[in-house]
Amino acid sequence: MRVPDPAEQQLIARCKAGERNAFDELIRQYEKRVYNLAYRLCANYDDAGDITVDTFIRVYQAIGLFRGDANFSTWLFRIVTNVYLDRRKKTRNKVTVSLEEVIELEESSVSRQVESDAPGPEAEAETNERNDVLESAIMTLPDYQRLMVLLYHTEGLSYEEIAEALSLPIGTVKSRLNRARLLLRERLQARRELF
Amino acid sequence: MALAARLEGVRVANMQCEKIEELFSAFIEESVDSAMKLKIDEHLQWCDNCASQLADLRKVWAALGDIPELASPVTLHGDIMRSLDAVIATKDARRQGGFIERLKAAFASNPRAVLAGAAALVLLAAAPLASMHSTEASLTILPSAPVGAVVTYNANASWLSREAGQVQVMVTTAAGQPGTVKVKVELVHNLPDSVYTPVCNSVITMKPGELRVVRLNGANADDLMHYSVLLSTVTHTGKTTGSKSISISAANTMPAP
Repeated sequence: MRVPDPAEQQLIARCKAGERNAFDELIRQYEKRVYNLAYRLCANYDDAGDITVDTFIRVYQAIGLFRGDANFSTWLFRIVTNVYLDRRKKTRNKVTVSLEEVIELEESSVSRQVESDAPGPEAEAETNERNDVLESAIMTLPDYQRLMVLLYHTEGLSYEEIAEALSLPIGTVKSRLNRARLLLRERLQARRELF
Repeated sequence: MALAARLEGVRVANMQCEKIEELFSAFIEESVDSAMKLKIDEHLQWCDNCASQLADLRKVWAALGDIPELASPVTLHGDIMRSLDAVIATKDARRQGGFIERLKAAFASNPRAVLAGAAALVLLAAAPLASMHSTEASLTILPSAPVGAVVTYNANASWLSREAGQVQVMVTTAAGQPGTVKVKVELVHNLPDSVYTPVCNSVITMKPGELRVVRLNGANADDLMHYSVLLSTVTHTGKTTGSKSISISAANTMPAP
């Protein structure tokens, strides 16, 4: 476990005292990371923004309960995870439209046009193809595996921190992460020339 | 027999591969013990499949660490802070409500004690307030000639915010009285020539021992000291009587408990 940063501890103490400016500062420090994790969990820019907002509201409401035993980032990522899972539960029953759905017309048929949440062609061109392929493969992982991969590889949390954030035994975290990596490798086989 | 032995050999080899696969991550991170490391190294020397998988996994592992950070929307911070401010404002409003709820509960259980305590305080809100903040206070008046019943007015006025220009008045009636009583709560503007200009009012019918919160809107928050709250009872013929004025001034105010 990382040694707590005294400056951050002081900032959190100010947040606990209800100082709005302290929250402003804390949010600035973490909003980008929260947004990144949220986006890679839900694969939608708008939803990622909403998850980020909801996460910091929960942080504000629960900061008094943060004891400081764990790293703040571990605690924060646990909240992001909960917000994401709660939202997913709520939207699970929403009617979805299949991209392959065909709309029958009287004389002919056309494929349904669905607006994509993905970045436009210009933004796509800027991103590295390998990263695109890798991120797409990450998106295909089951929720818990995706979460672990992101927390470990992109957020840099240790196995201990992930275990704490997700309330799982460390052995479970290690074995699930190993399975997730193997699954990723398998799904990237078709594009192994990129790696 | 020879075929069975070969099949058994394949089964053992596959089992070994599965077992080795489970240790790939630990092997890459060099967290396996030396005896296990030796076994895996030996296995990799003859098992091309595992060696290839491990090599691929190392590449994926390296790539995972290179995923670039996404740029967050420029409006993100503003969106978060706006939502947070709304939550803070709601919390403040609830805290005010909590104060009233506490008083209501106390009033229900022991109205005399509450009124005696409030009478001893004689207070009303008026301190200049910062935006988004509020101050609460209360005032107890024993009206000289209430109609139909002995009525005790216990008023609590608070500015919810400068923008809102709203005064919150808490009115209570003493318990043990016969029948209901109509109470008029009015916000008036005290002009410099001492003429009261009505801003708004609310007439409520109250039971004995009841507590009601009346919100009066339309005050100019920057001119707080020039407003009063008038409390009076209304007779069955519509006549107003027993009026009491609560001036909003620094002299008769103190912060709420």
